[in-house]
Amino acid sequence: MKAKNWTNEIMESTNGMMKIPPNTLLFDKIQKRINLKTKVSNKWIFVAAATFALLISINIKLLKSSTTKSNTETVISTISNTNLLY
Amino acid sequence: MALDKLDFEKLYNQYSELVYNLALNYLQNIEDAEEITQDVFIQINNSLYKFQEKSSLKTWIYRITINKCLDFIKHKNSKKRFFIFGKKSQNEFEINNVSNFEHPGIVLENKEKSKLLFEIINELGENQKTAFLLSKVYGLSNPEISEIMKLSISSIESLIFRAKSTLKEKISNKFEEYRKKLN
Repeated sequence: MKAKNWTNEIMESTNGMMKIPPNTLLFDKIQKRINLKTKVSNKWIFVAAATFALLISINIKLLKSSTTKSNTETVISTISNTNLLY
Repeated sequence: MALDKLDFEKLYNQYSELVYNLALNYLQNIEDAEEITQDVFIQINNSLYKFQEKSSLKTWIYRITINKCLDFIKHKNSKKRFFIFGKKSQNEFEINNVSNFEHPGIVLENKEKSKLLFEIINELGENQKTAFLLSKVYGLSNPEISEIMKLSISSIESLIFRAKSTLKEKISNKFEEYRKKLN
């Protein structure tokens, strides 16, 4: 009987619970976080764009250097063909 | 697309108490509940344009809050597991302080009893815990809970029934401990 009463007391212990308003400074904190988030995201957009541009320019440079390299290779091969010892 | 400041403030004034108190009941810690409230309103601000009026705004906010609380608990538990494998001496403080019971809404004379009740509620499964809290602590009706949890009314009834039985069983098991303490 005692156990049952005690169990009921525990089960009913949240009765009369009050609703608590949140800290008055919480709204400002949220606003700050929202503003900060926008700033950070702009920064990251810029970083991503810069990285992308850098990647493309490196690719273009590499492509160009590989075509000039192949041209020199053909020239070298013709020279070496004509300079045979016999 | 984010909300303009005035609309956001209105929304905050209307729903902040609901979000904060739900988080408080879920996590029983003021600092954690404030963190969840911040996260919830940031998400609302960022994704209100995605809100399709299939459910009410209130239901949508309930869902976001519950999901944030569940994620928070999962994250906290994974941290706890990490600490257990890590260096004990440095992290002992953090393990012990992960869930300090702080619930300013509870009447002082019921604090110890509520603490025990919430300890056992925290051992329930996610769905049972959510259904029980929304029903018992928040006083929502079963149809309202079924809309929030996207489950049928009969499932909600069953979840609440099972939650109550488990709680009663676990509490009565604690009675012996309580009696020993008294003697």
